Amino acid sequence: MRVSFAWLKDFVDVKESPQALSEMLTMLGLEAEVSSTFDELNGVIIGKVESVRKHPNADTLFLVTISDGSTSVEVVCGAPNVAVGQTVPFAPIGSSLPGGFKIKKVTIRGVESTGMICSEKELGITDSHDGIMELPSSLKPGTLVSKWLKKEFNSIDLDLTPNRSDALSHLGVARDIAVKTGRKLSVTIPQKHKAVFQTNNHFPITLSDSKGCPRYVAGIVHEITVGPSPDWMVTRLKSAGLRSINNVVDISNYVLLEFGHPTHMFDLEKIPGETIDVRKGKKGEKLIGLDGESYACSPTQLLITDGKFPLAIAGVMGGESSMVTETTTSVLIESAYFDPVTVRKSAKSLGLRTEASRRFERGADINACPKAYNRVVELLTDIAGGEAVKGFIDSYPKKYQQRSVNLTRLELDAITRQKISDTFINKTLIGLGIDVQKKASSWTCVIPTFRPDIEREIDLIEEIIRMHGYDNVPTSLHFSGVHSASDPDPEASVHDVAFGMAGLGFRQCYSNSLQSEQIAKAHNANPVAMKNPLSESMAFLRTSLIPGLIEKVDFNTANGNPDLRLFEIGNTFLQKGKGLKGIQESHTIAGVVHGNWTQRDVHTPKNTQSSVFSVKGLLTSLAARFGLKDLSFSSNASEIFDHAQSIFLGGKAIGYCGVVRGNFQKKIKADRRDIYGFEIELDPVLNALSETTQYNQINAFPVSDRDLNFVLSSEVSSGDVSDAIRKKGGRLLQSVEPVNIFQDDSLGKNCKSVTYRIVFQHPSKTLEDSDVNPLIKGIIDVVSKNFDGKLRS
Amino acid sequence: MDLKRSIESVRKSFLADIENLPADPQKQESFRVRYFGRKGEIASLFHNLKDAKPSDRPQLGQLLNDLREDLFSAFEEKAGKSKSDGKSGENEHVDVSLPGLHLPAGSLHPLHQTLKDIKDIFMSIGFSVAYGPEIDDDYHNFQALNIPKHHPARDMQDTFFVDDNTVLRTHTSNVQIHLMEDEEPPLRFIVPGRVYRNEAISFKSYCLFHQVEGLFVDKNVSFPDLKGTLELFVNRCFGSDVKMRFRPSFFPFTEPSAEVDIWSESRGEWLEILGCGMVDPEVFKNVGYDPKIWHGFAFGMGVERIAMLKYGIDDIRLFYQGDARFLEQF
Repeated sequence: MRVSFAWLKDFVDVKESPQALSEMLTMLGLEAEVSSTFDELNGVIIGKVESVRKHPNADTLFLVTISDGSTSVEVVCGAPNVAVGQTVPFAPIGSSLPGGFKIKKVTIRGVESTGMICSEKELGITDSHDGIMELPSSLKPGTLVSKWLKKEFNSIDLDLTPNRSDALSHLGVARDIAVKTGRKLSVTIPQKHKAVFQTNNHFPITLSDSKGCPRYVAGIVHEITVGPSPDWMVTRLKSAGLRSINNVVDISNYVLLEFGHPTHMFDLEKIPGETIDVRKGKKGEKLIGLDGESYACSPTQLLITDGKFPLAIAGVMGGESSMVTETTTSVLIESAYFDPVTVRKSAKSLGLRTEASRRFERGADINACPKAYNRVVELLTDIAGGEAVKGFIDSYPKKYQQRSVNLTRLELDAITRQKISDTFINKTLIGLGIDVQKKASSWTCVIPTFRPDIEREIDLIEEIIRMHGYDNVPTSLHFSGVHSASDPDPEASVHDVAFGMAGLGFRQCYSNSLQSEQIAKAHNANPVAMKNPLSESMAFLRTSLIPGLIEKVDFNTANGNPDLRLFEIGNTFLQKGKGLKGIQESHTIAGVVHGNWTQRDVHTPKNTQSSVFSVKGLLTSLAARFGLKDLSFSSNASEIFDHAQSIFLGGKAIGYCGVVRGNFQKKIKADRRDIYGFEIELDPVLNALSETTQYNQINAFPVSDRDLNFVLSSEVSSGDVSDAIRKKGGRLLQSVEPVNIFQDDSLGKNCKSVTYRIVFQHPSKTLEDSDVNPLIKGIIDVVSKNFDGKLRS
Repeated sequence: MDLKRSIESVRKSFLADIENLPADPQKQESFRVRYFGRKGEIASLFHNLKDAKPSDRPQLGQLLNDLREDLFSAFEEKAGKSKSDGKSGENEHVDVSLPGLHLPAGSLHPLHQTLKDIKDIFMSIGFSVAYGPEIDDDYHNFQALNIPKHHPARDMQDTFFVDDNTVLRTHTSNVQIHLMEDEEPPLRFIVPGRVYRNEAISFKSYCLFHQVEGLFVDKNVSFPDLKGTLELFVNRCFGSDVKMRFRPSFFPFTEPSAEVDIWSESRGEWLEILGCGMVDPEVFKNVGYDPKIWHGFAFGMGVERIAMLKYGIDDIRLFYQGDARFLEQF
């Protein structure tokens, strides 16, 4: 909402500069920004158009003679609305406009132009660039235009929070200023017309839905002449960011911005039923709105009807059929109060948001109906020559009971921990329009209807602190009664894991959790779908972290960084059953490697390529780093990885590793690359990490190691052989690892030679050959029997 | 005992020569070869050992060994070389100006680091950390936080819906409700996590971000405590000389509510960094806490926002792009 300085001054004295006022309002909770100060306008003056003739070389341009009162210059002007006798803002050579735009002498289509006539946009008033701005003829030519603009157009933009419906008007903003500064709020609301009983002169009003419309004030004005608004009103509306339409529409808008209460005017002749009925919409009903669009109605909308057909969507938008036009002579004025939730549902269902709906859905002032009505009538009489029918109909079946809220000194002091004086509290409450009854240590407050947001004691306390100033509240650190959670951060080790990954050369990434259906379903998972996605490419929650990482491999490779080790920690989601309960949210870690694993450099003659063993080595190294002893791998099929292995921790499968399947990359529309990766559930890892390491006695007795070289069939998995050796070796066996492997025809067809290094150690003595030899024999037998492995000599 | 005499003579001549050991490395090398080379003086003495009487050999061998050790250390000392441990590299020239071996540097994401900083600050003043679901029901994300259906405050947070009653949380405040439902006061928690907003992606907004919400419930918690806690946070996070202000605002789940701004000298403007307020009595009622007994404050900040201010990042999308040229800077 844009508030105009000049307009605020109708209600309260404003002495502050735009900057200072903006600061004050911001600190009162009405976030403000100066919209225009015209400080950048240098040398632009008021000019008179003396003559206008066609440009000799261009059909759409004019040659205009401008006078500053003493001398005249000629400019080329393209505005269609330029006319002799106009008073206009004129930027002579050497002057400058907002944005530092300097006016220079230019030649346009062969004619020299010495200056420029400005539009509202060029002056920084509105966005209107339709033509040049016309100024009131009373302004003296030759004087600086900025002086007049500052007086009339200085304004502030407010970004209001949804609770402050009262501040959606100049009066409301002025009230806050008055309370804060201690200045007087002067408001005179015309009260010429009073409610009357229904007579033949008036329309019968029926509130079929009195819940949706608890109050409907209406009356008639005849003999109006629809035409342009007077200058002062045009300027006022413009200063608040509104364009003038005609005097009748402008009056309704003017009252809206002045008091914050929306009113609507129907052309009396265009209400065929000659009655007003406020009721819910029916299926199949249609209404053409003021904007020319057709709206399908339903019971979600509250409608103003003539008993049969819809005339308007209550509190949202008028209808085209009954709208005021140039030929209108009599109007029915509506000044009603509509239920916030009803208006909100109605506007939302139609995808509409208007100045009226904004105010009604935040809570309008039910007591403002007669005031706004009288103000509209007053202006119609003054400006549009109207003759008002005496009185108005006030259909108000159930009078609203004003809320009474008790404010106690005890609670106020408990929140503020300081003594704010009784005088200050009284002054503030009264200034805000509250009826106050002071008791010994409390205040009984009757809340005005324009503050629907004040419902409870805490709301009053907020008002007091707001006016007192948040910055005037002391600060303290009060830390008694600690809530002692046994585990102050259940995910503290996530950081350790991330740190461990970074230590191994991996860069941490964050990816979008929202992705396309194709990506989310690429490994045949059932993803969680958005009902109202931002776009198709973000309609599902991720089921795996791998696609996000692949996208980053693509991005970086395209940008000249193909050698990558990336990881991400985040949540993945699966729709396993129905509804919210069926959603499984999993804390996951994934990593990928691409390109070179180690780089060629001056000391190292060759790069080494990444491989599945890079990933396996990484995981093994991480497990060792964190003391996770029972990490193991086993070949398994995976939708994402080829050459896949399941990863086990403590016997439980926690994820997969391998090389990303080409088919998977195709499905997610990534370039085909050799990307190796892993993805595992994080929670079992975190659980394992939470266990405290138990120290094992260091075994100081020497180890005995043996290398056994077996010839095996190529198909035999070396890991299976290791497992068998481990099992046979018994408790003295410390480790078994393949240390050399080669294939050669000399070994026999489809055969390989694998050398295993087997290490034995005894906890309490030095091992002799006589201890180890029987074990070695047993191992040779097992490998021979189970794998047809022959010992090579 | 000729050999014995020869040993002494070699020792004498060496000690005389070593006094005049030239500085030139090449001449030093020929000196070394003369005495210690494979055909040098000492080697030829060892060669002669075989001619000695077998009974004298052990004693002579010992003398020779001593001679070699004594002279060699004298030579090394004179030549200014430290006693070398190994044999290789002794006289090798090493170009130490060459770069080190290439080892890949990993990195932690700036959001992770910022979150860690935030956690550390609040944990140091007794806050614990809690976590909760990213997908939740409308009740925990909105209604229990005093945001009824069809309330204009819903417009403050554009929401992704999974179904009519299930949302991607728009803030981590849903965990506030879970916590208070599960635990008795007093409470002092921060809740980090990923949150979602149905907003078009641009340099300043993304469809998701990370939030840290704080909740402190106790019998005597006041507005000054809220101010003190957040002042401490801002001072530790942005430096003790940073100018800050609390200005009135509105959140349905706090009353009074405030926004905290810090002053940016370089931009010449106030920058919003977090929202906060005293827990609204309605929220306490919804979780069964008696608002007459318990007071509390809550706050919520965007990790992205803090990270952008801290590191001078001007485009929020950079956090999610995974550009190595960005990541390597943190």
